[in-house]
Parts: sequence; C-alpha cells; structure tokens
Amino acid sequence: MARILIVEDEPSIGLILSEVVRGEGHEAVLLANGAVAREWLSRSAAPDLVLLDLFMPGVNGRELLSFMRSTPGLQTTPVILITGAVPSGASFPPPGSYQSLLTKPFNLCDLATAIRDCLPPGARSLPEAAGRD
Amino acid sequence: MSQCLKPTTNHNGSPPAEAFAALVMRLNAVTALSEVIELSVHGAMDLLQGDAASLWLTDGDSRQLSCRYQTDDPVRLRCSGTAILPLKVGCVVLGVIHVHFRARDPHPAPEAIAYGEAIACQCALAVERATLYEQERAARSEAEARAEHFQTLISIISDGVTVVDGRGEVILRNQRSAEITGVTGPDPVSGEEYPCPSVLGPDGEPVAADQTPVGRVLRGDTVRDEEIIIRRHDGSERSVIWSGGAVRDASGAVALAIISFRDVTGERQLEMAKDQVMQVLAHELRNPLAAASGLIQLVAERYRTADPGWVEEHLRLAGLELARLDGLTNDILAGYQVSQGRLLLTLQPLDLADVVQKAAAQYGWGAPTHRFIVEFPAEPPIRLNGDARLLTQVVGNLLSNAFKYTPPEGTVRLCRTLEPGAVVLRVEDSGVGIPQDQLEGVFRGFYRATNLQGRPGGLGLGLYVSRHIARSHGGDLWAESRPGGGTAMCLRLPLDGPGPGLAT
Repeated sequence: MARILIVEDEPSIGLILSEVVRGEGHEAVLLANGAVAREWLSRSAAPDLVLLDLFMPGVNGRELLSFMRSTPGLQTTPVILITGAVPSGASFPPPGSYQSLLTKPFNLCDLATAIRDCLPPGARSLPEAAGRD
Repeated sequence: MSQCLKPTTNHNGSPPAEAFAALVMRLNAVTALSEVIELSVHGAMDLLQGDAASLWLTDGDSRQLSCRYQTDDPVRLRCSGTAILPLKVGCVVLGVIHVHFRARDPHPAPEAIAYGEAIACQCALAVERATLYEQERAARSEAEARAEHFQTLISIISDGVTVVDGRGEVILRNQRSAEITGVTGPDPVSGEEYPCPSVLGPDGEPVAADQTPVGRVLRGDTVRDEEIIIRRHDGSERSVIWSGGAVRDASGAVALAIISFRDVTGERQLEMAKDQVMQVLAHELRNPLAAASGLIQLVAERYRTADPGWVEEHLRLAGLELARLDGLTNDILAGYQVSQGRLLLTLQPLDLADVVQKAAAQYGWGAPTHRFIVEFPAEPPIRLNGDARLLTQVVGNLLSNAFKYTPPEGTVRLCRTLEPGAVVLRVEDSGVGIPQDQLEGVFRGFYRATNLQGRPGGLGLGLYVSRHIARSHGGDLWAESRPGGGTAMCLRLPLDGPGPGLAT
C-alpha cells in the first residue's frame, strides 16, 4: 500500500480522487490547497505519489511542483498533474517536472492506470510516516 | 563697348564722383531685387546723362537675356547711341544695362568708359546681393512652410513621433509621443525634465543603449514595425510597435533620427485577458463537468455492492455539480446577451414564492454544511410579471454566492420585505463581507473582491448579469454590508408591472 497525497480545491473532485486511490488499495491524504500541502510536505515523510490540481487559489499547482522539485527528498516524488485549463503557456510547468497529465473531465480507468504507472515499484507498502496528519 | 558716354556731370548737376557715391549708398540701402534693378537703371542713366535705359538679366541656366526694367522706349525718343554696360561679378556676367542717347559721340574718353563700367560693377554687386537675399528669403519661407506642414502632420497623426538630432537630443515630439513615453514636460516639483524612459525587449529584458530605437536609427538602421516595451519614469510600462529612419546631411552623417511608434498596450492586454478568460472558462466549466462525470462513473462501478446511502449521496452531489454547470452556462449566455445589449425577457405572471423555492432547491447546495433559513411567508402571495427562468437564475446566484463566501457552519438567510409597489428579497450571509469601497465593484463582470483569501471559484459573472436582469424587470440589485460581518444582497422587483401585481 502506498501513501498518495491529493491536492485539490474542488471538494467533489477531491472526493472522487480519494475514492479511486482507496479503491486501488492505497492511503489517500486529501489537502484542499497548495499552501497547506507545502506545509504538510515540509514536515511529513515524502508521499509515494502526488495527485496535483494545477489551478488553485493561493499557492497553485505549478508553484507547489516547483517547491517540490527544489526540495531535497521530494525531487523524484512522482506527480500526476490534473488540470481543467489548457495545458500551454508560461503558467504551465515545464515538461519533465511531472510524470503524467490528466485533463478534466477524466476517465476513472485512466486515473487508476496513471496511478499504477507512476507509483515506484517499491511503493507497495506504506512507508513509516513521521508526523503524519 | 560704350558708344556714347558723358561722365562730366549728371542731370542734377552733381560732380560724377559724388553722384557715384550717392548711387552706391542708395544701392547698399535696398535689398529687394526689383528696387535694386530700378535704382540701377535710373542711376546709370542719370550718371551717364542718357535719355533712356533698360536692364537685362540672364535667365537662369539658359543664359538668355530678358528685360527686367526699361525707363522709356529708345526708338520713340529717337536715340541714336547706346552704351552697353555688362553687369559682371568676377568672371560671371549677370546681365547688362543699356543706356541710350539722343546725341551720338563716336569717341568716348577712356575715363568715361571706366566710369560707366564702375557704375555697372556696383549695380552688378547690388543685383547679385539682392538675388541672394531673395533666394535666401524664398528658401527660408519654404523651410518654414515645410516645418509647419511637418508640425501639422505629426500633431494630427495618431502615432507618437519623436525627432532627435545627431547627438541624440530630442528636438521635437508630438503630443502622442509625450503621452506614450510619459515625458510630458518638466517635473512640476523639481522643474527638471523627466529622464528618458527605459527600453525593454518584448520579453521584458533591458535593451542595450545602442539597441534602443534612437541608438539604432542614429547608427543608420532603417527599422519597420518592431515591438518593444517602454518603461516610463513612474514605472508604468507600454508595449509599442516602432519604425524609424535617419536623415543624413551633405557629408552622409546622420543629422536626424525620426522615430514613430504606436501604443499596442491595450491590444496586448486584451490578448492576455482573452487568454485568461479562456483559461478560467475552461477551468470553471470543466470542474463541475469532471466532478459530475467522476461521481457518476464511481456509482456505475460500485452501485451493485455499495451502500444505498453512498449511491444516493454521490448521485445527489453529481446533480448539484450539473446544476452548477447549468448556472455557469446560463451566466455566460446572459453575460453575452447583456454585453450585446439584447437580453431578452419572456414576461409572464408568476408567484415569487415559486421562483424562490426552485432556486433554493437547485442552488442551496451548501445547506448540509450551513444553516439555511428561508423566511418567505406564503401570505400574501407575491405575484408579478417577470421572466421565471432568469429570476430563478438571479436568486440562485445570490444563494450560490452566499454559500460560497460563508464558511461552513455559517448562516445564510433569505427573507422578503414589502415596500409600496415593490418587494425586496434579501439574501444575507455571515461570510467575510465585502469592503465598503467594493460594494459596487462586485457588479462588474469578472470582478473579484480583494479581501478574499485565494480564488473562490466561478467566473465573476453572476452578479453582473443578475443586476442586469433585475434592472430589465424595472427593479434593482445592490449589496449592503451587514453590521457584525457578512453581506446582504438586496433584490427589489416592482409589483406594478403590466401583470396582476400584489394580490391583496
């Protein structure tokens, strides 16, 4: 079982993502905005995977991703970006900084497949989490 | 050359030297060519005691002589002798003076010939000087006319124009140039000229001095339609498209750089705003769509084994997301109609309680997490003429906003009051409230209050179209700050329309 962080400000979509993650047999940590997620990432063990909404109030997905890629311990954590916006322009993260991209509305099978593909092979058991929420 | 000269005395009886000096002084005193010519003819005739005289000048490059002035007709006067005095300056012959005599003297003394030539020489100098004066006056007048044409031209064109000299000093700029660059004159406090605006590339990076428009044109470049950003002394920036070229002097050096530029800041902002609107639109529409779609997919996968309560809750949430999508598309459509000035109402008699009930059912989605109080007595029934669908959209928007801006466990209250001829529907929330100075701003399209932490979602169109819908019904929509926090949105609708009105 892996521990997967979900950062999504839309409650219904957060609920769907959590249920799919749990349905795949993993633990879901749902946080509703980028600032809270950055705080959580700073004091928790690195999650095995992050499902990250791009367009959020305050600290958005791009900023959180940039924080992760410059923070030791989080630089290789796989990230699946989830966006309703058009994936282009300067506000979009550089390719290579994330592992997969899902455009809303998304198919739940595609989401489950992306989770399976992006999880590191060794992330099948829950890591010892210090200071978890 | 001279056939008949009498240099002893002139008509006035003055000695030749004095008369000669007087003529030179008079010639020196005039600058107009016509006066010089007339004076030369009469002076030569008087001093040489002729009976008629004329002055001929070579005509431009053709070297043809043409008569410019004649005192009298020598044939009519029966003149039999003529002195022809060349008007020479150095080696150049400008023309001749003819002096005609009735009496013929076949042997003029050498001093008489020299006297005539001296007179002609002075006249020639005066003619040349006057010609130069005239050319200079014409050239100056033409230059002034051209400068005036140029001034008029650059003052009426809509582009900014700046002219700098070879050292890079601005010698002319039109009003538009001053507006775009922000260099409108001396600083009112210090009296110093504002510094030149700095130039940035389209990417926002500073441009080296020799790569600025002035630097490039002074170096001799001719540039057409390149884009830069101008940062003005107050820090504001304008995007401009510029063109420029150099005017060279006789030696080939750049004497003037002329630069024109067009302010495209508005166009660039519009492009960015359109991009932003498209991003927001895509995001806002896709979120409820993705949520409804995801919830339905979950139910489809698990309904066989799931708890009926779980299925019901997920379908209820999916319904709310679809209602949200419906509200957004209605707002977009109504916003478009309002912007085109053609919001169409389908008026029919209706009971306001029905509208409130429908909106509360459709948009009261925050109810499970909020206290939602509806104080809408059934009696007396409030009947008015209105567009039921649009009024439901207005009440729905007010409720949706109230839930959105009120934290969970907060209270949203819907109530009504009656006024003479009108009903006022109030939707009160216990949210963060709207700052006093932004109570009007929230009714502008795409507006967001600045005291919100983060983005609350939605397009910012709801209140904009709602006010238009209210006013199209002859009513109004406004915001009030509630003492102790929160906002009250007030919708007033007239009861005295063409319909049955308030039933009593």
